Amino acid sequence: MAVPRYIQNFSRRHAILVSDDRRVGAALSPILTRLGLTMSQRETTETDGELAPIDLDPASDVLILDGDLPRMPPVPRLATNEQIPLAPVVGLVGVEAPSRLKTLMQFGATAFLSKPIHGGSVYSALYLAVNEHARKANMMDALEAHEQRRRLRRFVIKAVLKVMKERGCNDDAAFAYLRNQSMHARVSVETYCQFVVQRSAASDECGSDSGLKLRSAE
Amino acid sequence: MTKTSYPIGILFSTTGSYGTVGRTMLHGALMACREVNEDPGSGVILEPTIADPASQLVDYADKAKAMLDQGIRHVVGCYTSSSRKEVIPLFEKRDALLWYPTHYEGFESSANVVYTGTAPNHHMAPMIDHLVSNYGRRAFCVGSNYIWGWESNRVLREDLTQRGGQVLSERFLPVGDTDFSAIIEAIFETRPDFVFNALIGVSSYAFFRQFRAACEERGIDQKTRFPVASCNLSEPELHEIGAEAVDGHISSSVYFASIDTPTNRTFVETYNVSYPEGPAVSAEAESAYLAVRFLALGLKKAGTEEARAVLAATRGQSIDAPQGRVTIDPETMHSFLTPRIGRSRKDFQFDILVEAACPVRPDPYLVRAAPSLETVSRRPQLRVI
Repeated sequence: MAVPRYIQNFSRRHAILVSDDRRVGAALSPILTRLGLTMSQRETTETDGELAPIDLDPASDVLILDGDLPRMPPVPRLATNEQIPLAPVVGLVGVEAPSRLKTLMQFGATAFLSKPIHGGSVYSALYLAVNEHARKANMMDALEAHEQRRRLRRFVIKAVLKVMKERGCNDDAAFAYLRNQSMHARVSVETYCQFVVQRSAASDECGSDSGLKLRSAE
Repeated sequence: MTKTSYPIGILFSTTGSYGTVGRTMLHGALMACREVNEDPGSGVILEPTIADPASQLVDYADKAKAMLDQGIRHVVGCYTSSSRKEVIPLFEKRDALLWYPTHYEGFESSANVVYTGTAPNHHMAPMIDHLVSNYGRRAFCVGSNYIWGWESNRVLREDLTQRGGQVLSERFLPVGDTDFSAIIEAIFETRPDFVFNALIGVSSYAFFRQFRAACEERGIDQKTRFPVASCNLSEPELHEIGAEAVDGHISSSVYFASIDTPTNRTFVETYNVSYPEGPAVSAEAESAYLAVRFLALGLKKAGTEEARAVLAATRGQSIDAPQGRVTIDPETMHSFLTPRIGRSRKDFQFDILVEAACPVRPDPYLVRAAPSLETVSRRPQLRVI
């Protein structure tokens, strides 16, 4: 299993501050510069205040979202997972009311920064936001992969039964055979079993080999 | 020229486990006060109030609070990072300034602190360059159990790992502990190329003595087989180690008393005449001296002791210091300093082995040096057998 690697240096990253309060930008800018980031500010009153996916570079941007905005702009989400924002989000907390904190979390904040901004807490907030965003994205990817495998388990059961019938073996031997074949084909056992079942169904329908071929993942 | 008087605080532990370093810092600060007060062009008279927290962490906040309660707006002080962290909230609450004159592990830039000591890029990177070039890439780390030891070891581990090296073991002891028998045995067992020492005060002195004695018992030349490198070893501490174990230790610093320039010769001579009883002049003494000199410049330019005004007036100021040109970085309020590597001698001085060509910009968050991702040290998963 891969060792998790935390991001600790934020130089060459860009912070996008979404706030209508110019004082917040004035306070944050020198602190972020010290940490190696550049910063730009977007105000929701501006005509182009809304954030589009094209505005965000997931590899380098960090969104700093002011929780005191009268109307929060939608934060673009990962194409692969609607629950995760495209870039890490730090929530700026002016009013520590549960409703404001909840809103910021719903907009994807994985760290909070209290107003007025204290220089000593910005690095910690960035560290938490960026690494927690990466951790959540990885977890969601892993969950999605597991979910996908779970959906394919029914093909495994069908394929095991098919092999047991064809080879007159028990379920363990059938599964071992399928696993071995999947490894030769360099695909997961679930994917291989899906192929076996679909090929069999196609053969039954056409009365002959449908021409389906399993190709190596490579 | 008329002069304005300002009260300032001087907060160093001149007694207790790291009292030797504290006394040299106090001397450096007082020497600067005297020079400022005697200089007709300085524009200010500094009236120091001195307090000694006796190396007890819990006493720092009380002493600092008492100073701020007296109306003092500027305090030169603290040696350990834990003591600095202890008092910073007070300075931020009262909007006063702490002038911090010690090498430290970085990852901080309080708006109420001016840092005249080294940032990690000043002392760690040159030391690792030197160690890897001359001794090898396998380190054994021993340190005092607080942020200085933890973070210094982390930076060393990351840098070494990137260079294909390895930290064989990390051991931490409470500040003031002096029994190193188990750690020394572990060093002999792991056989590192060098030992990295982030111990402070009496713990550090005891380690040097015990390690040298243990090596001699085994017929090992400690200086060449197990060299010890530190980022916090200065001349007064060599005296504390004692003549038997003083020589051959590597120190990464921005100042050594042996720097051969007219400015430094004058500085050392004045210090020795002023404080013949010791402790000897050190990097920490020079840094405390610089902190007071920069404070005086800031007060003069600002014309007030109000913290924001003095901070603004100090940004970008330069001094021709004993170590060379020192400038306050306007962005981080840390200092441009000149890294050097020294090796201790039997006469309690350092030979300077390496010296940067010019002052180096401070990088307290290592944004220009560290990789984006933390370096993960792990055993290879495949081995040729």
